[in-house]
Amino acid sequence: MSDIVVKVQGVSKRFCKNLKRTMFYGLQDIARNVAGLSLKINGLRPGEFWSVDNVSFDLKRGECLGVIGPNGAGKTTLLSLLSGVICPDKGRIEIRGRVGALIQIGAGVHPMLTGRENIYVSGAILGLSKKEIDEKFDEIVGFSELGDFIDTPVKYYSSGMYVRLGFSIASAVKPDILLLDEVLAVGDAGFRTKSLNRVRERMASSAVLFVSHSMPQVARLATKVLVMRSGGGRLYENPERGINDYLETFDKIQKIHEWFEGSNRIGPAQIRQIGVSSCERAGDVNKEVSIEYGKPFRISIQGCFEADFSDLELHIQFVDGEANTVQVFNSALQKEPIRNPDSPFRVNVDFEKMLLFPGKFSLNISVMDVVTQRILARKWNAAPFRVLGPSYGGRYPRIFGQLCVDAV
Amino acid sequence: MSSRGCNRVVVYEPDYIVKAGILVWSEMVRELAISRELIWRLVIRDIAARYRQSVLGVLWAFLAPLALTLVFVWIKGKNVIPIGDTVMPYPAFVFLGQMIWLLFSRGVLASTVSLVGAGTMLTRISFPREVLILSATGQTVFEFLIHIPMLALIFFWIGFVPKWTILFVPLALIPLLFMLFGIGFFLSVINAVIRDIAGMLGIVMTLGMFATPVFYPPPSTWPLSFWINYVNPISGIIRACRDLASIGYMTEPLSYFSSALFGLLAFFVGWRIFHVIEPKVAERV
Repeated sequence: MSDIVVKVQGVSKRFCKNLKRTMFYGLQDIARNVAGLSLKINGLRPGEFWSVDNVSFDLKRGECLGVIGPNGAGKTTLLSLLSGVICPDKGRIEIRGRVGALIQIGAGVHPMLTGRENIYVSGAILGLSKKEIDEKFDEIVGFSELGDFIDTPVKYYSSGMYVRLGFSIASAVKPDILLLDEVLAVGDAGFRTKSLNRVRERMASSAVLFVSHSMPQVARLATKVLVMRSGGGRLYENPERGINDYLETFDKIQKIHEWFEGSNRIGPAQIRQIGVSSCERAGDVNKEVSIEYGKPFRISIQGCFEADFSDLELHIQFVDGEANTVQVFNSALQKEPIRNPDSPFRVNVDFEKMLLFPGKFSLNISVMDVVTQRILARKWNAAPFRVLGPSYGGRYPRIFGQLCVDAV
Repeated sequence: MSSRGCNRVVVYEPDYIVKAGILVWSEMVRELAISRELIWRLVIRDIAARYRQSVLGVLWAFLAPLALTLVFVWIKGKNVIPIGDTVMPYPAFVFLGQMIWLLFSRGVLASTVSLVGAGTMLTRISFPREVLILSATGQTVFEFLIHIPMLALIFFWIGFVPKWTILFVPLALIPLLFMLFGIGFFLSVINAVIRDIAGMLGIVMTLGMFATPVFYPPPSTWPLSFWINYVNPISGIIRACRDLASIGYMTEPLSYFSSALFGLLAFFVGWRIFHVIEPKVAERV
């Protein structure tokens, strides 16, 4: 069944920043409601802002929408609008089916009661009937892996146990629409995998909408991405493009790639200049370097050493927009170590093919002494460059291989 | 505005109240009917949590009215304040009055603070907000029920046998419950905006106990006290309950039925106001 279960059309929501004005506007709206007048909303009253601004999208069963954006962009407000907690000021939301919201884990849970009793409380708050909770009770307790602790008061739970219980209860429902608000990043590694798998299970029969700040997670789960910025939302049918758009926001605002730039004399050597250039044309130092996927490129490092070290090792880490290391080059793989020149030197590393996915990257460079494995020089987030190319295959480096089809 | 457990299309759009008109009532009743399990579950939760860590446990429920009853009995005995003749023996008279008054006053106080005390439930989860008010009063109803054995004990102690019509008293209190809900609905949204209301309410309820024939019989002469008591809707109900327990019929049926009418009116008006105002308030709490 690929019917549309969520339809959002031109939805907007405004809030007021000022406390007293908020109350006054609230009274105004109430008076208009009571008098039977429609709230004609065209613009903003003084002190107001659009928390969600003209967002539209459709979601079918089996699709998974990742909502990403900087803090304060309106993502949680959008979720609140979809779950029915607040009403939109403009536009229209249509929901076909039952909504399951993992938005606030443990809302309504009383610390004095045991886990067992709280399963009934939390389940009732989330909309489950007692019959449904009875049926799913063993499954919930099993999934949470709390064992005997299910009979101790919740106030003695660690935060991890608390989250396990909350997630088990909330995900026991098989809703038609599942809303998740940054809840997949909690718990230990085992639980995170379990919860991810459970969400995947639900995806088979529901539409899923989740908010996340973890791009690897979004890349793994989402079939569509909505990038929100100051209330506005842009829908991307290709999740990678959406993720790149999101990461670009921070480039403009914060320049992640300029962290730790500058002097870094932690050792007796100093790296003076690092450059990445495409072998096709010489790069201009001031402009952003672009390298096409699959094409050769060169990294050159200039530096100098003060002391006497004979053999050196060069480590180059390729780092993506979220400061994750995606690829590593280690000169130790070569047969011969680098001999230390005594004067200022330049190292050129030539690569046959650029294998990274399209996006913005930078380099972490460290030079080590082979014998003592001591780091002689290090530079983080240097030489930002951009990879251009077709975006398929996700946010992972891709390898080339020879394909050959034979009749058997 | 809730989409719980139903296989239908739910539409969220602005002005739904204005557009729906009179149909909003059926929506309100339907939402509440669906949520009855939740109300029950929250009542059990609050009662269990409240008495779990205490040694005296449920006994706390009737410590206060019992203490007050003893104080008033002593005052009457010493004739400090001239209190007239009562239809029932005085200790039972006072205790029954207290039971009913506490049901009302504690219920209104609990409902008034229920919205602001709900925390993340209010801001993140979707459910009919009336549930919070109704479950807050659930605890006061529970306390009322706890008082009943105590009342029976007092009857036994003073050797008073009530008429069989005392069984009608719970029925007679239903309009009081409606009044309680209606006023609770109204005050809870006001309190969310003007936080002093809860504090002011405490004072009003303390004074109210003196303005209601809780520990004295309704005055029958004409000065100001008579008028205050006459206008007070609770006095009609308390009087009727006491009459049913002791005499067997209501001495002032007009007073009772006008209070009952007021209760029902308060309920519908309060509920409607709550339903219209609550969404705007919950965003800003």
